[in-house]
Amino acid sequence: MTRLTKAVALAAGLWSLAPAAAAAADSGIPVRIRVLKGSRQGPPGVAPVLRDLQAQLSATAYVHWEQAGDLNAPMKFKQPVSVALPDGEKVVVTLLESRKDTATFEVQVPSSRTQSRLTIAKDKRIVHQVTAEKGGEAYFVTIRPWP
Amino acid sequence: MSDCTIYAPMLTARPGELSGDEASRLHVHLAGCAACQARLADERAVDGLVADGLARAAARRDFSEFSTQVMARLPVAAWRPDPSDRGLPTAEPLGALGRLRAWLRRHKLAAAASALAPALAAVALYVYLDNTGSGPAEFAVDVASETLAPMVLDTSDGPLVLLGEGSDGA
Repeated sequence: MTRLTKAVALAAGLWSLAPAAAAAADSGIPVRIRVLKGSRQGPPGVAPVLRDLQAQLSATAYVHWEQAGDLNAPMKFKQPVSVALPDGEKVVVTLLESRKDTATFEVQVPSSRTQSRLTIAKDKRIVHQVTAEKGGEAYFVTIRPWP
Repeated sequence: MSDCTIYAPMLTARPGELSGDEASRLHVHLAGCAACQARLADERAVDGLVADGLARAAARRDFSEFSTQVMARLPVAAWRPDPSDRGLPTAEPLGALGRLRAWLRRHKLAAAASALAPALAAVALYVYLDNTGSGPAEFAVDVASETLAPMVLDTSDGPLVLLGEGSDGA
């Protein structure tokens, strides 16, 4: 009966791990949110702190990029995080769900009544314009889970 | 004579073998044919003798030892499975609980697999839901704006969402 006892113990152990894993998943994930300002005018260039975003930023018509804010904190599921923009507007970011290698966010821009739902892989990041262009400039946020 | 050659084989027919028409014609023939009446009487007498003989032969046979003989031909381990009891010349069959215990002793691996199966199924389901779930696995974007014109670009590093001027110029 020794082998049977071991088998039962193993099954009980596996079963006990499930709630722990679920509890860990409920605690949220670390997320980095940065605010960017893109300009059509000015000397072309990307701020050194934004080098990791070069591939995405170069796909836009904006040539000059600066970082205007940085928020690095764990996000809990379905708890909105408000990010203030330098022009006084705000963006609301919500972590909707995460799986082993993906995370889903909701980005809301109340001023333009814009709402996005984005699912990305663990090693990817979101670059999202959050203001309409004014005077050749626009604000963006970039979201990276598990930075 | 020709009628008798037709109806004689029908005399031994079993119930249901003859059609209604055949049965009625046989009945008419029997009413007027003494030879066929005699044949029918002989057939019934013989049939009764055979049935009686078989019943008597079966009654003379003693089946009281049948079950004992069958059990004696089975391997002893099949109904006395406890290895610790092998030295005992007992022939008493075990109860249901005893047989279950004996089966578990002889099939430990199967018993362990039976115990693990529900837990493994639960783990597999959890992993499956964790990996797949209901949403897309890699990349999904859904953008809606009431005042601006969203545009989504898929880059190697992730999605890029641009908000163009809306139709109302906002």
